[in-house]
Amino acid sequence: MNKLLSIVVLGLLSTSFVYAAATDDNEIRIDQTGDTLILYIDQVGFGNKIGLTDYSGSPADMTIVGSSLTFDIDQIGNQNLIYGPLKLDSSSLTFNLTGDSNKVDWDIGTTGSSDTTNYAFAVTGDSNTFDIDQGKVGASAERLDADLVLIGNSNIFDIDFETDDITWDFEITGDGNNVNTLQKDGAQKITLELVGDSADIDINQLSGTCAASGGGCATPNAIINLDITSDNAKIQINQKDSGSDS
Amino acid sequence: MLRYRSTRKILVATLSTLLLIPDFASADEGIGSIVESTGIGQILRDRKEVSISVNTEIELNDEAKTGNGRMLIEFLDKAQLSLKEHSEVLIDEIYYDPDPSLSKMSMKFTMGTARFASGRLGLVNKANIDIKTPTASIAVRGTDFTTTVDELGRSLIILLPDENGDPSGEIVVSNEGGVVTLNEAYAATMVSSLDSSPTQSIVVNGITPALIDNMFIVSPPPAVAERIQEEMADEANEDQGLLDIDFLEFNELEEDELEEDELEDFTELDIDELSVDFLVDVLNIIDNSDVLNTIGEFNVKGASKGFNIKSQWNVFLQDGDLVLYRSVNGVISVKIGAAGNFALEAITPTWDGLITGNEGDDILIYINQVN
Repeated sequence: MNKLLSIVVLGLLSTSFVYAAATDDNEIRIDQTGDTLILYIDQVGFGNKIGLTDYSGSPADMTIVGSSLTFDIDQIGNQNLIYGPLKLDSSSLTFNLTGDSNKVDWDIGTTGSSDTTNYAFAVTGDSNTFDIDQGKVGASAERLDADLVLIGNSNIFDIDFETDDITWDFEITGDGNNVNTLQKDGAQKITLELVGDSADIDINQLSGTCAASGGGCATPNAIINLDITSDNAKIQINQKDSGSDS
Repeated sequence: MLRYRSTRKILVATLSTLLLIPDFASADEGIGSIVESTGIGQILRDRKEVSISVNTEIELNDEAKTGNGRMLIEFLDKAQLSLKEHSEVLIDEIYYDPDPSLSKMSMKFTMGTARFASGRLGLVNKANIDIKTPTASIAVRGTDFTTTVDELGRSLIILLPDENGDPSGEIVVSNEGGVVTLNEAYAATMVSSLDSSPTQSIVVNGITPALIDNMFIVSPPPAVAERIQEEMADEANEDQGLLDIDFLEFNELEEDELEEDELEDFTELDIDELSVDFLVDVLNIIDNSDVLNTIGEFNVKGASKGFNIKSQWNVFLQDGDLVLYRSVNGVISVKIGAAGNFALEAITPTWDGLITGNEGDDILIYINQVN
């Protein structure tokens, strides 16, 4: 049975007041099990949070388990937070974040398989932090298609996808952004367009190359496409057929 | 869906037969569809590119092309056409009639590696299946074979086994030079030109269908290469009397007068994935980092425009940006914005070196590729 959950939260819009109350602002806790969930969340304001009971203490994760899930999350404002372990097969996630100093910390597939997932991240703002892990615990996590469009400065992305058949498309416009990616197991492709200065980018592709000892192969499964317009960009690429990224 | 379409078409054909009107699939009717597609591929229809995905219909006169990808097409009679990377096949003529002897299937394999398995529905008599390469015609009396065609039109044809390991039938490869029948599993023949006879059938051991790809035409299986050498030697030993002089034979056409000009226009389309050399001796690499090459708005050291044999980087301009593309073991493509300056340092199994642009390091790229 289809489920539709739509949440609209308007945070406190007075900046001075909001900062004073940042630790116990609008909070949404989601603890959901079941398939075909369609979840819409619009949070507008400052200090909005999704995924825990009380941000003033230690943050707790939201738990989402199911397949064929559709997420459409919009957060507009500063210092918003999203935490959570997610297990979502055959799911689609759209995430629009507009604001500064927001944090996203997701562990996807920590409790089971998360195959055939499709992510679309759109971020406009500065000093945002993303820490996204998928497939880390050995559960099946295959056929991932993820897109990120980022406009802003000094954002930090730490994205580890230890899954098969990954396609990542980044479009980053802004200065001082820091991106660390890990793609592991099977076919991997990353396309990164960067326009901005002082970027620090680390790309690790493991286990996708084909062995030279076997005569090579006409079509390697590890593909990196970079399009860079920048001053003072530092880009480190590790592409290897081994389990270590160092 | 396909079954429905097949049934509908047969019904239409039956009605047409009753009315004594020949039924041919019109150019805009689906005769099959793409059932698998990975990576880069396209269908050219009326000289226009059609974006593809699974279930994209195939029409008459479509040209199926793959880049860095693969494609599997299934026709209405369940015949399957599989294209590996950098391959091209023209779907020339296909129509189905209730009487299989009146049905026809004709295709041209023009480039790369393709596999054809005739349809299990038996809607087309195998005698009416006509597969052509630039240098050979293939008459199908079997069910499953591959062709690998290089840019010169040279064709390697291999008969595949059935699920029991037995030959999947028999195919006859012919051209103006002669005829060869393949009737053993993994029996192969190589055809070098339209008027040179196909090599005698030779069984290639130790391969599987998955191993057959474009590398086979670059480096033919040893058994095939040996057969080619033997036949070339036989030909060379033939009586070379006065009557054997071929006054029409001349080498001028082998000179490529446009070679330099082509280099000037080197683009992404000129990348030759088959030119990869996996066995480069790093010790033989000469450091050419001091040579300055002007490419658009870039003064590049360590690489020149076009394909750099030693480093195996393809270097070209794209809308004023500089693209460095390398496909050895893994694919790394770097595009530097117009007039940008960069330093690209790489450590790979086949090449270690430094490429710089505009004598700067605003963009620092370190590549560590290990197998």
